Amino acid sequence: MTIQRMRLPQGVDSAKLKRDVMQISDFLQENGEIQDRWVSRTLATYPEGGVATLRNQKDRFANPLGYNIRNAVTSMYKHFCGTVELKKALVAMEDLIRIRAVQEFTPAEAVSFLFLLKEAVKEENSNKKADEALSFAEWLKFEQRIDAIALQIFDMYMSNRERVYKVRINELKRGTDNVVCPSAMLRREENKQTVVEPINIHSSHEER
Amino acid sequence: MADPKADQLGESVAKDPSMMTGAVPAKDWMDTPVEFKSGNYCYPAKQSMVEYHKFPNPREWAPEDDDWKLPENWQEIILNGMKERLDKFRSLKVFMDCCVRCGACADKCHFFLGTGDPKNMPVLRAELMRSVYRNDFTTAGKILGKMAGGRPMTVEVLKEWFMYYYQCTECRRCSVYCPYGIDTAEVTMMGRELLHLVGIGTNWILEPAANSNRTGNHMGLQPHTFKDNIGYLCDDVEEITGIKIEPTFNRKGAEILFITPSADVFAEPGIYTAMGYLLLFEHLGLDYTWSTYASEGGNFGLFTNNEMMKKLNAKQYAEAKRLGVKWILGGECGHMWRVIHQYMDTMNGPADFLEVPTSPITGTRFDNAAATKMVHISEFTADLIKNGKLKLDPSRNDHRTVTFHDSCNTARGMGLLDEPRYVINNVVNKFHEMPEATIREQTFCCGSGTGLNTGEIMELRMRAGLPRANAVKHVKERYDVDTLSCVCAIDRATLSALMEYWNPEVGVCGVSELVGNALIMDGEKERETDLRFTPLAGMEGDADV
Repeated sequence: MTIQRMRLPQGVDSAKLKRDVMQISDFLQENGEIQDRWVSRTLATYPEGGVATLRNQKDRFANPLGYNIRNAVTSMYKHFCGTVELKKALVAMEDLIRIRAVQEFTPAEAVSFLFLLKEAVKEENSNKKADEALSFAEWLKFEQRIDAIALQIFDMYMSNRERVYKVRINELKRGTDNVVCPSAMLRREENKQTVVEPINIHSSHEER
Repeated sequence: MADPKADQLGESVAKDPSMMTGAVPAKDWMDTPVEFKSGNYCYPAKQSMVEYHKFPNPREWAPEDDDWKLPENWQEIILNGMKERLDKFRSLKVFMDCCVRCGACADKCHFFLGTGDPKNMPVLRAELMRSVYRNDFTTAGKILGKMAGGRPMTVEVLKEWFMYYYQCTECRRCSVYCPYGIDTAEVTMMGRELLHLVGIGTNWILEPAANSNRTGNHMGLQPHTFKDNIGYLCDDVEEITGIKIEPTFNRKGAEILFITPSADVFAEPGIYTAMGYLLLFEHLGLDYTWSTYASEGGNFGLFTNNEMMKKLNAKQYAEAKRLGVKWILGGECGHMWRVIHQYMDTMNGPADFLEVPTSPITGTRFDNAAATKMVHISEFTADLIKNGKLKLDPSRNDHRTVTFHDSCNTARGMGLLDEPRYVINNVVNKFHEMPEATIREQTFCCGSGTGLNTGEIMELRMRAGLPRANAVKHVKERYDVDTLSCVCAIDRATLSALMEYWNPEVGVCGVSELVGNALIMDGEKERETDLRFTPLAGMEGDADV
């Protein structure tokens, strides 16, 4: 798909596309409040009465959920600002996805917070004058990057879901539900093949 | 009659921002109904289990159904039950009255931290009951109703209780921070007791409790099976160390009765801890016996009601009396110790047919156990090490880099903080603590205690265990920690699952397993593996595994 062949939305100045345009990295750096908005909206995916507490407690051990939301969002934001590598941002993202994979979200809800960045950028952009705004071309590139990352985090989500199932199966096998001979000596031969390994073909982030 | 001031303060609990955290509770929390869906509740108790315990209103019912088939007069039953307990337990009355909504507890619960659900803030979880208390047991509430933070006992409230009193592990972390010392765990205990009055309970708790009542342990292992299982463990110990151990069972006249959770006898990784006990007692030549009747340290009565807790606890003491032992040595269990330390003496004490425990090896008199006559294995072992009675080679644990999880019940329930650390530091060379706010009195729960360690709520357990797992992740990344040690059987089971999800490189073990690895036994063969048949450091190429 090329930009020239696209039908541009009404009001978009096609000549502007040919000028030097504002990069997404500059736009995000200049409009840091987008990051705060993204954090707030991600926090708002949790039940209303608890959000303030999750936001206010900054200690990473006292509030791992709040910390991981902030860490994942800011790392990814910095990635789009051009100051953090994608690989590093994805590690932070996986920490958060692992949490959201066991919270009461549907699969779509669990990963869709990424698109809240799109929403926040779009809102901010619509309020800008032409020379401070993202070009349509730059917006498309940005959107494409977000979509690619969304697919990656959906893979992360699935690999973590599969891990939960594996954990449940292996807990059963450890014998708290079944009385089995406890002798490791007798069982080590029999059970050599019984630990369920991750089978997710997408699990590039799975520690094996 | 309640103090009016307390009622006014109570009103602010439901409406005003927290003084400490600024958190504003959702205005309509009272009107937000719970939604039961697969994975967010424990399976209800089978009718046969409720009947076995002779609990009222046995029936088959399902949390996801609108109709829970409650008895017609269920509200009367609950309110009468509350009245009885408010009269009987002074602590409940105080906890219902004295909360000032300072918010200190709000962000201290692992269930809140893992779910973000405000009803998992300890203050609000207690409010689920306090609102009913206000409505029916205080003057202000009777007159002003919702304006005074009261609400009538409805089916929706009852369902909320079932949801949230089974999203509390009674770990008591919140009570550490409460300026009034409100023990939310006891509110949860009362909530569960009241639910049992109308036939609402979970199978994962009532079935083990029934087994424990009948055969002496949660799994329902009969005496010969219990004995055989320990026999298998002795075979493994012999293969690893060359030492043949022949423990005794139900032996009258033994000096000490040893009681540990039955999971140590049949389930991984507890069985390696049991092998540690066997080696330690053999090393000392201790005059002790196992019992196939008091074959369970755990007491699921703590998660059910006070009568059941008393009955299961009494069994241990009845067996000690029957065998004529001098005192009881207790293994690595969590809630057994909370029952012993906080409730035993008033429930079943005084155990004056026993002696104040005195170590036959060191002569140390455990005056801290003068009332209960029961000593924790870590206290016992620490005393042995302190007095130079153990021959230890900590390098046999060099293939492990260890951290220690304080179990809620031993840490907060009995103050056992330094003894396990002293033991670990003497049997392990590579030990690293987790961050300060996550250990000792402030320890984070495994997320699956109080009978919540059941498979159908695995996701709930994983999110509740997040704060603990998060601290382990930190020491794993910083120090390459690969072993999470603990002194609780439920921890050993639940942390194994928790680590498999959050930190798959970290295994779980009991402290006594590490002791067993390090103990130099008289006449032993050269050790090539640890008690799990894993090669020791430097032996990786030699062991036949």
